[in-house]
Amino acid sequence: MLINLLETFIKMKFLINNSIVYNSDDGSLVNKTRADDIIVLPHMAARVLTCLLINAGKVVPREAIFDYVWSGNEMLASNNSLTQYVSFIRKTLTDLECQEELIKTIPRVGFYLSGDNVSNYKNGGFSLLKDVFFSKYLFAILSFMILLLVLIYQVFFLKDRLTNKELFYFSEIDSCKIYTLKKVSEHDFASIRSRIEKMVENESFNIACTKGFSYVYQSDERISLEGKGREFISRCNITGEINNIISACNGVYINARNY
Amino acid sequence: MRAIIKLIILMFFIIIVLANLYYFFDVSKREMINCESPVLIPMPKKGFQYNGIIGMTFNPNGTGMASFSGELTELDTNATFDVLRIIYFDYSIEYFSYFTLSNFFIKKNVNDSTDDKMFNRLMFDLSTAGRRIRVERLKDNAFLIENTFNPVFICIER
Repeated sequence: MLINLLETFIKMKFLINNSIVYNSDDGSLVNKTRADDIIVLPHMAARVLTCLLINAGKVVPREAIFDYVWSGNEMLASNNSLTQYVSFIRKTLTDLECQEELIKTIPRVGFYLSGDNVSNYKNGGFSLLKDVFFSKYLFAILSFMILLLVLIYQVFFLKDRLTNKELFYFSEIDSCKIYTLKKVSEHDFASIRSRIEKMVENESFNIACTKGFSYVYQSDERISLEGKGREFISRCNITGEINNIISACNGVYINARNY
Repeated sequence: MRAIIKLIILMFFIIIVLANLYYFFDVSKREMINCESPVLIPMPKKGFQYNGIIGMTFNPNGTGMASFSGELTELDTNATFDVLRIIYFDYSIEYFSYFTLSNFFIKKNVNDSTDDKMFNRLMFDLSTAGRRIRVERLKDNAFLIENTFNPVFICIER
């Protein structure tokens, strides 16, 4: 599977001897001056030629060709069949008016295809193999960068999955400030303040105003309309101006209908 | 050589994709919270009142616990029942600040004298498979613990 995956990376077009275009994707060969005359190599021959083109400028041992061409195939490789494929490729190149003997046999080693005769073919323009890398893999590189940015965003900006609750100044009772967790409309101000006073004065709740403490209050929407619903009040030491810290909270959670 | 470079790029690509998936589906659903606070919950209609400390812990490994240390008082008779128990659970953050708790397991202290039915009815219903709560950050060191509808108490970081 990994070999197949890698193969998708190396499918490309080559320009051979500045006249013949080879497409490793379908094994087709075409002379630029005779665009209608396309020869498609048999699958194994195409793989042999691809292997030689990728390694142009180097002597390619027979074993390396066997590994590249026959690995993953159940067919058995032999020196004889490799020689036949190379002969077939030479003949095809000659048919396409390539007079030069491009593929040289290195006795007892393998084959050699000069790098001077091979370049990469790109939409009518030519570039060396190394130049095509970024354009060919532009999509992959961009995807990679996007994924990396998403990861960085997740790690650094979504680190805190909790929303922050803001406190809104509402009023004061004696020396104690009252904050609510939602903004209170002017219309509801009197009824909400009355509810808070009632809770603070309830001795059993034990949340009378103490110097340096504040209240945090929140109620159902129904409280101001019907006097029903849940209410929450907490007397805390809130040192927001200095170090944004809450401490010593004493909370009460009630069903307003019962009070 | 080219094949090795391509293989390395491919490996990096796969690692980044997996890291994204891991973070999105796993890490992002966890937090580290450890807090507690005294709470009074009068329930006159039910004839009881809870007065005590409630602690909440959410571990980064997706587990957590709610600890109760206080007493339930029967308002008519003034009879008190000690509540000394920890509810262990698994949790996941469904989306911002909404937690789903599941797989509850109770551990009671030997001095806990509240029976489970009473606790479920008055304090924390464990009969449903999953409970949803909301935890919002308040200032730098506190959390607002809410049920589906309302805030219940301010929990101060331990």
